[in-house]
Amino acid sequence: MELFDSVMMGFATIAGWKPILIIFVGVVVGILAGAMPGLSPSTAVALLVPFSYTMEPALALILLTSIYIASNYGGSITAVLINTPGTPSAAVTALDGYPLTQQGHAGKGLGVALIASTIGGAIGVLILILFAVPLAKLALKFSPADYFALALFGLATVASMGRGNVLKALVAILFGLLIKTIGIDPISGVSRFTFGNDMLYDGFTLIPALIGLFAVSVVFVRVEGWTGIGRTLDKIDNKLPTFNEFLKIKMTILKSSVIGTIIGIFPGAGATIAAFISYDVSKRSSSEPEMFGKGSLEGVAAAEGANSSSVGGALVPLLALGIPGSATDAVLLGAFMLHDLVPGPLLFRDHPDIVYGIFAALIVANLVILLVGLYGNKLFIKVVSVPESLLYPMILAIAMIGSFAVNGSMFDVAACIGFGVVGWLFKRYGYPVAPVVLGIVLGDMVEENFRRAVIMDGYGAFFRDKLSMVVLTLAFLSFIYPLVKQWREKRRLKAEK
Amino acid sequence: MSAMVYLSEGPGLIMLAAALFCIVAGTGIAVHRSAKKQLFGEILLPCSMIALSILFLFITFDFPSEEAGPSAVPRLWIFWLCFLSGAIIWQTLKRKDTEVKKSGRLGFLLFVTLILVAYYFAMQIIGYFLSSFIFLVLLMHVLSYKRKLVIITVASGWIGFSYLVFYKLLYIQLPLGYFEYYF
Repeated sequence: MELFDSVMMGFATIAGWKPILIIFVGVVVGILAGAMPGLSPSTAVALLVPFSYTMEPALALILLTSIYIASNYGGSITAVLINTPGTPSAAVTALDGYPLTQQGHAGKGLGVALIASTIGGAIGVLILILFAVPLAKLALKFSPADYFALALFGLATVASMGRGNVLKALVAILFGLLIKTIGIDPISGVSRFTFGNDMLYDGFTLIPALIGLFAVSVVFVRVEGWTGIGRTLDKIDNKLPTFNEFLKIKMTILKSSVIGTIIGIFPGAGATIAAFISYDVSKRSSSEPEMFGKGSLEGVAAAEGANSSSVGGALVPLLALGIPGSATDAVLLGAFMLHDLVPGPLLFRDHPDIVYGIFAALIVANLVILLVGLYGNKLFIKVVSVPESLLYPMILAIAMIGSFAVNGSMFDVAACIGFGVVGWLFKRYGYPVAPVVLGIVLGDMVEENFRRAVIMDGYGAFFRDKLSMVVLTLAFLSFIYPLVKQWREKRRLKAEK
Repeated sequence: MSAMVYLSEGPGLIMLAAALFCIVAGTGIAVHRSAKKQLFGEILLPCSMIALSILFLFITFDFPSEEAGPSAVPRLWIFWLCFLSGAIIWQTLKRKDTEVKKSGRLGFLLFVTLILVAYYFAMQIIGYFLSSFIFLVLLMHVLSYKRKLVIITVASGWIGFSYLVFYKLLYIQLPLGYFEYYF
């Protein structure tokens, strides 16, 4: 009953034209920032922090959290339409969203992304409201061995991305993991594989790598097959998915939303890992796993449901314990402090109006995302209706400025072109590029926790800890299962011959 | 061990890189002249992975040696990358159906890539705005778009958008080259 009263208090905080207008502005800014490669959710929130300084604390935080949740959806727009993920987590959305656009079903891709984001976001917030404090305490009990096991489980998702050749998917992920070791070693501070180049001390930045592997490589592939005629994609429709199609993916959305929220709670895990794991789980449990990667609505729903719900999850440790779980949460923590508020248990006691005002605003923000998305999608789809000979130069121009904008570094632009060439080579010879991204994303988490666990407790750490044992076993089975399946398939084909 | 340390940095590392490059190139030539010519790329890509792994492996000999130290995890990835790349080469050589996707217009792709690289350097010399305008107009023309007015409008529109949003609104210091003084 107390919780119900608190939630009502939250809705009272956002009642009135001013908070609603702020939520609307936050959602629009968030969607635009998310759709722009190079502008991460954390950058978008950080850019608006100075503007929120003179606002009332509740309104300022409502604006910033609205941007945060909307930017996660915004990333899917360019991922679906031009295979250029606006945010790292949208890389998973592109796996099925872009094939849908290529087949002329951009409307369906964007529609599913929108609905899954909205439902996922709402479920994430609901879990946040109900279980914020106990969940945050549980996540803090995780040891480095558990985190290592969790990261390895994330890596195991790669095995299902091989599309008939698991070995190539594994090589792709190992390439990503090896690339991630470039730079200053996070534990000992030793410079590794930098070749004396100080631009490499921080390693390769994720966004330029992502843009290169996904967007630039696609342009290269299309240019290689160029026929000399700048055609327009045939029959692009802006039709939303039918009600029956939604019913088919309802369980995927629910499942991915729960997975996304749970993974979001773990500090450092984040939306990208949530999206990859959810995608893998959905593929394994789908009745049409062969459609994944070829324009599956389930695939889009799994990725978007998870990455949007992870926002609610990531806010759990921030609000309940004052621990930022992601870069955006760290910026939000700064915004809280700017307004003399300290996230943690005392915030719930001293400022319930602000805490529950944020919760209520997040629920309303999800409805606004749905509204803006429904009307905006028709406009967004026009992007892919332009001839390829205009579209591809524009994609390259966006890729270059997007890569530069992250750190203001020309080195990142060069890295983007380099990763574009790598992505083109990989695609040409049947290696999936998504595992490279997964390797880069998870590399630090795997290495740091592996080494911490060994330093603290020796190599036996992973076997003494029950939770890590269970997760490691699951990860091992996830790796092995597709290999066994592939081997069986080969034997069956041999026997048939 | 001292030979490994010698090859892990400075002139030794350059020699090692050159030797690995020669081995990969030699393998490429050998495959190209053999009956498995059509598998050129399929074999050369994992070979390059192995070469890269070996290069990285030698560099790790220069890292401090300790339990779970800075070389532990890279070596783990290197071992598996070599092993699995080798397995892919084996799998490719054993394959009976040697049908490989036909190459497209590689020369044209190289030309477009060179334009992109030239754009990268031009950004630092003549600045982002002018180089982007030239890049967009040139590439749209190369990709045989005919309507000149549309090309100019799209390129100008993008320059205007990036100036307002990135330069003015977001304060991103885009490279200005020789025109820095005028902004």
